[in-house]
Amino acid sequence: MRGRTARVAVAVVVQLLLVGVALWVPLSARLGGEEVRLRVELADTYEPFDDAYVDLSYPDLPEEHFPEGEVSEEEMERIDAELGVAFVPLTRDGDVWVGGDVVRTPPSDGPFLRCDDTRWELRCGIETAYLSSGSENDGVRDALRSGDAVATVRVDANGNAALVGVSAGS
Amino acid sequence: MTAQPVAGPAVPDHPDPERRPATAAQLHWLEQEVEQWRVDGLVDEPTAAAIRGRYVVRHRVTLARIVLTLGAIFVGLGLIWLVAANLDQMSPLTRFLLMVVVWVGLVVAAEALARRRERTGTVPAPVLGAVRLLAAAAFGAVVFQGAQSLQVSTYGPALVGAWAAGALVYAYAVRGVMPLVLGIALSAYWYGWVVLDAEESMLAVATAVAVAGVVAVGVGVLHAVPRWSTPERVLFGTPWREIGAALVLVALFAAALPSDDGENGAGPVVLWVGLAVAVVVAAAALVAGDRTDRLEAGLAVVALAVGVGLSQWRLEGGDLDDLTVGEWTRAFVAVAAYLLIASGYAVLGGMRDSARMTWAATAALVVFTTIQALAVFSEILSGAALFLLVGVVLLGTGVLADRGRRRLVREGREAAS
Repeated sequence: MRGRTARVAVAVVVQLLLVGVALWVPLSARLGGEEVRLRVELADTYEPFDDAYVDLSYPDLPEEHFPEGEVSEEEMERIDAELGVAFVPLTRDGDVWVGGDVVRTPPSDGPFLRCDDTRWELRCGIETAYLSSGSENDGVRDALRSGDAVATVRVDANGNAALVGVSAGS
Repeated sequence: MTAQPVAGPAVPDHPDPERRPATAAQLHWLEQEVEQWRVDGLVDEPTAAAIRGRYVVRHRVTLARIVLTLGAIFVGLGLIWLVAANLDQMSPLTRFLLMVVVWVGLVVAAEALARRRERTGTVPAPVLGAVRLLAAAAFGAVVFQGAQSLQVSTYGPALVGAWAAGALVYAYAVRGVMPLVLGIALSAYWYGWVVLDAEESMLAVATAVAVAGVVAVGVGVLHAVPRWSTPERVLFGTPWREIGAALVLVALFAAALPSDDGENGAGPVVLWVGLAVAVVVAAAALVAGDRTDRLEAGLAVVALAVGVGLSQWRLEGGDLDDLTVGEWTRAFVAVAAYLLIASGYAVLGGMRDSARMTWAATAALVVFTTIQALAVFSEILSGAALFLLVGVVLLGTGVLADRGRRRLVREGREAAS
């Protein structure tokens, strides 16, 4: 009987560790990260506030560059092979920060975001916000609609990012 | 799946160890046998009475049990719902901590019930199973609430993977079958999602599900290897084997359908890794298991191979109104292979005394034949003729399967004795 209690206690601890592992990237960014502010807008304008989750996009982060015009198959394959881990260096521009072009090796100085563009779409782990449905968030919703919203993001030394909050105006 | 990880008869400190519970059918059989022993002179009258006196009728599903189980589930879900409904008023950290409290509370409640069951035997197994299942489910709520509190997208296989691993850890810690079932199902779901994430193709996912099935069957077989097994482990192998069989049948179903979704590459790396794991686990099961185990593992591997073969055997066009000879051939081969493999599972269910497996295989067979018939064969046969043919095929399969099953069981008995 004593043995099972110990086993259950160990299982609970292991499960808590699993939560930590699954959420390591945003946790590490939140706890040890530097705060940057990024302009943010709605990614999906069709019924964006249907539920409490909002899809976001960042106008100052690089757009995924689809090759223009006719592209040979080899060229396409070369680009496809390059996709994967993408680093976006961040530089300060007044009140907010803006992202530079995507690079494939971690930049040596300044904060940067570690993202993934395997699917031809830059994902940095900060593309979803949870806005509770109360009226206290009406201002934020208006700002997101008009494109005046600013996201507070924490970025750690490895480029892991976590969205801390979205506020109206800069 | 009956939740009886610590089934009544195995409990050592039962308050009245002399009188063990048995179902009415078991008692009926026992009474007949004991009477026969008495007539044959194996036991005398008092001994026969004493043997019969050791057992007491227990009804498998009583109203009290159903109500208790439902009550446990309702209370647990109501608790989670209550928290979820009031989430908006709380800070992200409070929300997360509240979920942790609910989860740990359910784990502690399950432990208290398990202890009480061991001491007094008054807690029915389904109630304990239901509370343990809720505890494993609440762990998922903790994972997802954690992600939500950190403003991370909750959409992605990683969180399901963490939930699956957590459910499995908990299942093995408390020796609970219900959390185990949840953990196995979630693991398969996670793997399918990982593969889908790497390559958006129905075929890759079908293969992934088959791979998960083969791994599950192999793990289940390895649970029962006599060399290092205990009755408890054998009990734990059953969900692995049965869910594995279901996964294999579903995967083969998808692979055999006459559709093509375009993308058909070499398959993502995770799929190959999974295939390698499946080969290793299946090989271990084939080496370590007995004859029935080998049949079980072999059946899963053959189903995986047939599924991969049918996946690769995709034909241009895919227009169901204008079938070519090649498409006809493929459809016939697919139906024949499915009939064989599903019948194999029905036979296996008989050999394992698993009514669930037999029923699942039979249902899969019926649904598959009907779907294939409607999708492909309805072009030349219509209405009554179609159903007549399907019926005749099923009857033929049934007769063959029954004959084969009897032979296999007979040979199995001979090999065992």
